[in-house]
Amino acid sequence: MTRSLRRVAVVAVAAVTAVLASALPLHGFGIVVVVVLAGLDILLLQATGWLAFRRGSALDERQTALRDRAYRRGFRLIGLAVLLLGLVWFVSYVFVAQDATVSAGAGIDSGIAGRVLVVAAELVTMMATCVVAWREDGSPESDGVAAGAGQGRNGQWVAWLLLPAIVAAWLLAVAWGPPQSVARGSISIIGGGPASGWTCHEFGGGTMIGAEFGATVGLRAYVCWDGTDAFVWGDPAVPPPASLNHYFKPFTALEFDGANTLETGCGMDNLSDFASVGATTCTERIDAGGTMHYTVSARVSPLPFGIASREVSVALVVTRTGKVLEQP
Amino acid sequence: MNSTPVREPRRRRHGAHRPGRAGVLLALAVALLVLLIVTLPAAGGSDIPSILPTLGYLMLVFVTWGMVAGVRREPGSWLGRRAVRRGVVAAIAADCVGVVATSSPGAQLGSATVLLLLFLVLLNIALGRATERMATAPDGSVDERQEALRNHAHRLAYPVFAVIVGALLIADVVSTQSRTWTEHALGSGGLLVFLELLFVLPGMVLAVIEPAPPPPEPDAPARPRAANRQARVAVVLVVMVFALPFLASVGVVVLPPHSSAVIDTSPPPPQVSGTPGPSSTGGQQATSPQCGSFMSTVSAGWGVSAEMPVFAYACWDGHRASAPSGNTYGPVCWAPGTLVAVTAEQCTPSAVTASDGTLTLTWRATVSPELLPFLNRRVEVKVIIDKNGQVEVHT
Repeated sequence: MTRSLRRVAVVAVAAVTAVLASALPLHGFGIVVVVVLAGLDILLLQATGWLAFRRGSALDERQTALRDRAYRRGFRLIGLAVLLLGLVWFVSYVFVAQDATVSAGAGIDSGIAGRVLVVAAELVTMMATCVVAWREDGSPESDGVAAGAGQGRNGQWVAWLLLPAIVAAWLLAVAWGPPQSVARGSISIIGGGPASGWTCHEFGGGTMIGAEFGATVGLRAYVCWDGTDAFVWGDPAVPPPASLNHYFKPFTALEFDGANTLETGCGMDNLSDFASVGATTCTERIDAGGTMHYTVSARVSPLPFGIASREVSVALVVTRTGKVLEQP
Repeated sequence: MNSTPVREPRRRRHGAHRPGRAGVLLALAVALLVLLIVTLPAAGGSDIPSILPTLGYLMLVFVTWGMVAGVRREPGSWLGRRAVRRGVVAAIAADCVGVVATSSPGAQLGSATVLLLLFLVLLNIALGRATERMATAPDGSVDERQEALRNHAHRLAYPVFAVIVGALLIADVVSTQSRTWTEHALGSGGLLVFLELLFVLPGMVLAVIEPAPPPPEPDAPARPRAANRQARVAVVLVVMVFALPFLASVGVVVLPPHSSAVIDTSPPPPQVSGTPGPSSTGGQQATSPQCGSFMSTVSAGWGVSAEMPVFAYACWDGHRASAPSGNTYGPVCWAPGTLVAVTAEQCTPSAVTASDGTLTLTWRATVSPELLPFLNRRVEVKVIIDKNGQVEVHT
């Protein structure tokens, strides 16, 4: 591969990494981006003869010097890349959040997103190789890459097995991996309810499928209780129980539909970078004892047409006195 | 035939790599940042005297920085010795662990974390001196041997950095508990440690792998006396920077608590009589009871310290002082201090009127320096209001 082509590949790696680092929604196609990135990485690794990862004993003095210098520059570039990718995220977040009334996923704390994990791994593992491939100095060691590229050409196809391995591991994790609970996010509202005698608390959380590389079904519910019933407040799709009708006289429909709707949202906190989340339903059932059973159900599909999809439910159970019997 | 040209060995720049303008600006920015972080929460925005020790300490840190940075590393000097270099690296690693361990998940840095970060700054300066900032020196100022050495250091640092980052990434995926741990580790302190590793790890590796310098030749010219003096002063300053927080921590236990002057916060006398109210602290005897409220601040320690705002109100009539009828004293606790942990035992004061008509309000707490947690001191604060409205604060 010529230097020009290698540089094109490096630029492509940077662009794909920027897409992953941005706040642009991936709509379940994150794995495609990852596979493309991995493919570009393999191309670069083969073009540079895996120089960055070869043992010192397999290199001559010139190649060793080239490799070590690439590591030095790569280490410095990681810092710069972190800054630039942070800037990309910020700009794209402002762009994406322009029309949103509330940030998706704010009710849950899902840790470091899978796409960011990929970016971090990419920077750490591939920066030195990118520097070798770029080789902007055009130093006399220019044949170091070619010399390395010529070695082990017979086994080059083995590296491409990495791509189906990535897809298989991802599919395995999303379709059959154990679900993980996700903690409550940064939003926290505790206090009195819209009427005297009510106590309200916001609950958040969810269930993660595929350990950061799948999807998260989130739950965000503003739950109130008055000693008689516990119920979700603020979601027009989930009407309050009939026993509360006498409370509504002081409140207008606007108040009910407006301010509090942000605190309860069906599917508001779903995250679907690497698998799509569909058919989200939120149901509330209040039993005879006044205990509320709020359930969010959704279907997580890693592949189109519902192939290998699985149903995920997140439950929240609160008694009429505010005791939490079950939560994500 | 492919001939490789031989690069002429470059002459190494003599002396230390002086920090450039960017370095000075960075230092100023860090200073400003640290100043804001340290002083604003502790000072409550306006209490200048209480931040003077912190400001003084910060000044000492920066003077030390400048002094250490100005010391030239001579062949055979103690900072260039391999054991010292490795000791500095070990200290940086331990400090980083401490920063992560003491920082909370939120954005706010605790006082212990801030102190460790200050140590980290000093250790980084020492590392820079020990390695002559070879890891980040411009290409033109290192010779071929040094360039090969620093490139090799980066090569070795890279997998170390990758393992640390990889461990965090794996922890974020494995389970909910490990994800929570990752989030804690990547809190405010963890982020700073990440940046530390990103920018300093190669220098640390370089300090470890750099061969021991050759011993000075017997007939080598002696160091100038001024250079020796500066090096000694730098050592003294470094020792002071490290020792002062511990000495001040001992002071929390040894020094007597002190209180500020009592301020009368009573409202001006009302024009309408018949309501309990206002008074002067003067203790003029009157037929109707006079009431007043007072404020003071009790401090334990200096620099490393904790404070408690004391609010007291009482009525007196020349025969006895007492709590105003119908009122109860609310809780007032010691505020979280700089590097001091406070265990409040009695936030709501006990109010006792003695036979001589003196009212005594008592608060109790135990203070313990965070750097020396095995030391502690029980502090009893008493506000004594006599029958004439005279107020004293005893600690």
